[in-house]
This record gives sequence, C-alpha cells and structure tokens, in this order.
Amino acid sequence: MSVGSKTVITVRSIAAVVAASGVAGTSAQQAGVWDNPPTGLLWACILSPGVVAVGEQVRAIVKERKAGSRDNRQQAIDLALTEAVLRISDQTKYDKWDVGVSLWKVKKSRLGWLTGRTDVMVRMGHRRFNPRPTRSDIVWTRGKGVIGICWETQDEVDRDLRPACRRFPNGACTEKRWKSVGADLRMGMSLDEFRTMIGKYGEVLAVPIKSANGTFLGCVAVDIPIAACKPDDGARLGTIAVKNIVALTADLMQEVVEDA
Amino acid sequence: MNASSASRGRRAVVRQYGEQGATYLENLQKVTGDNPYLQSAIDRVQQRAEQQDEKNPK
Repeated sequence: MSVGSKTVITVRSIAAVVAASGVAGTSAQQAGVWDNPPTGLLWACILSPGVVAVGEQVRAIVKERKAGSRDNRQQAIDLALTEAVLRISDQTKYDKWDVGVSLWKVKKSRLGWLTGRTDVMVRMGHRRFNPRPTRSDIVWTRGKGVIGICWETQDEVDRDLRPACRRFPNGACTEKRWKSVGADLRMGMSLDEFRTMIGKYGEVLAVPIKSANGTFLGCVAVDIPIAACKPDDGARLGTIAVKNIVALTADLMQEVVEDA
Repeated sequence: MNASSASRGRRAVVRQYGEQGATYLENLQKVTGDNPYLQSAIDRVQQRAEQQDEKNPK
C-alpha cells in the first residue's frame, strides 16, 4: 500500500468518525440525553455531517477530473509515439513492428539530500508493435545507458551498438573481459546491467526534452532490436531525417512531460 | 486558418523539422480528435516554428 493511499484512508476514516460523532451528538441532544451542550459544540455536531458530505463530493469531482486529464495525457503520448514509430519506419526501412519509441521523464527524488536517493528516469510511454524485446528492470540514472548519457550531456546521443552485440552476443561477458570494456561502452552500467542490455539493441537514439528555459525534463528514445539489424547494412537512426522526427516528438511532448 | 497561413505554417515546420516532420504533424493532426493535450502541443510547435522562421528568414 502506498503512502498516498494510507493517507487517504486515514483522512476518510477521521471524516467518517467526525460525521458519526456529529449525528450521535445531535441525536443525543434531541433525545434529551445530552443536556445543555455548549453552543459551539452543538453547531459542530449539526454541521459536521454536511461538511463531510460536501467534502466527499468535492473529492470525487476532483478525482474524476484528474483521471480524465490523465487519460487525455496518456492518449496524447500514445498517439505521438505511434506516429513517430510509423515515420521512423518509413524513413529507415526498419519494419514498423521492430521500431521502439519511448518517452522518459526525470523523476526528482523527494528529500534526496536526506534519504540519499538520486533522481531517476521513469518511462511515461512506450510504443513498439512487437512486444519483444521485453523491458529491463534497470533503474536509469544520470550518466547510465544511452538515455542517462543524453541526460548528462543534455544533448542527443546516437549509438550504433551492433559491433558490441557481435563482441558480446546476448550480453556474454566474463568478469575478466569486463575489465577491458571501455567507459564509452560501459555507459555507466554495472557488469550485471551490461549483461542484460548489451546484445539486446543494435541501435539507440535519444533526444532531450527541455523546458522553455533549457532545463532537462526527459528524453525521447528510439531503439532497434539487434535481430532487426542486418549485419551488412549501415546504421540508420543517425540520419538528419530520423533525428528531426525524434526532435519533433520531443518538442511535442514537452508540455505533456511538464504537466505530469 | 486560411490557406496562406496554413502554407506559411507548413513551410516553417519543414524548415525546422524537414518534410518528414511536416508529414508527421499532418498525420498526427488527423488522429488528434478532441485531445486537448495533443492539440495544444501541435499548435505550440507550429507557433514556435513560425516564430523561428520569422527570426531567421532566408
């Protein structure tokens, strides 16, 4: 159970007790069981059930509006990412089933200075018509992975990982070989994370999403599974046309990310 | 929006995001429906592209 839902349960329980006490107090006064109650307390007993009822209605309306807004936001993300998949597929000739486009947002840690938690990237949306490859459970932080480097450099990052996939098929990397892997290929990952990720994607491109004043908000990332990359072909995500499509997606998503 | 301002808007988007970008926006506009987030995002991107175009005319 989340902290939020615990708080809601606590507040609603208190509201229910207040309302019930109000009804009981009013009834007791009416029945003559409670003689000469203080006027303020009596009014509190009379008004509290009404206040709680109105509060419940307001809460329900706010919840409904938030849910509607959330649905609209998610639909906007899904539509923009789907269109990006189709345009990138058109441009690169990668099968539309293989192109993956994700929207990532920086989640600031609350009281990070106190808890030691760092800011992380959370995925707000993802589109790939083919369900494979499945997502990893790696927590992406600043400087880790292609999206983490995009965050660190605040700039677009385009990586052709096909040579690394050939060198470490399915992420096969011993601890001894790991020592010879350069920082450029490690991309801030641990050996376990490297084994999970390398061998999965042949090409990755990440383009930053920035606010009007230049603050990094997140990124739009495109990935192509290694199985979809033909060994003899060149990399295809690094063209100006593809970068333009991804930059446009990032610009479209700026408001959505800021509002989330 | 009249034809000339639509054409100016498209030209600005093409200059900033290329022909593919303009096609992307046109297709997205067709499926936007009444989604306020997406419509607002499209309008803002077009507006910014036009402002850029005015600042740096060729």
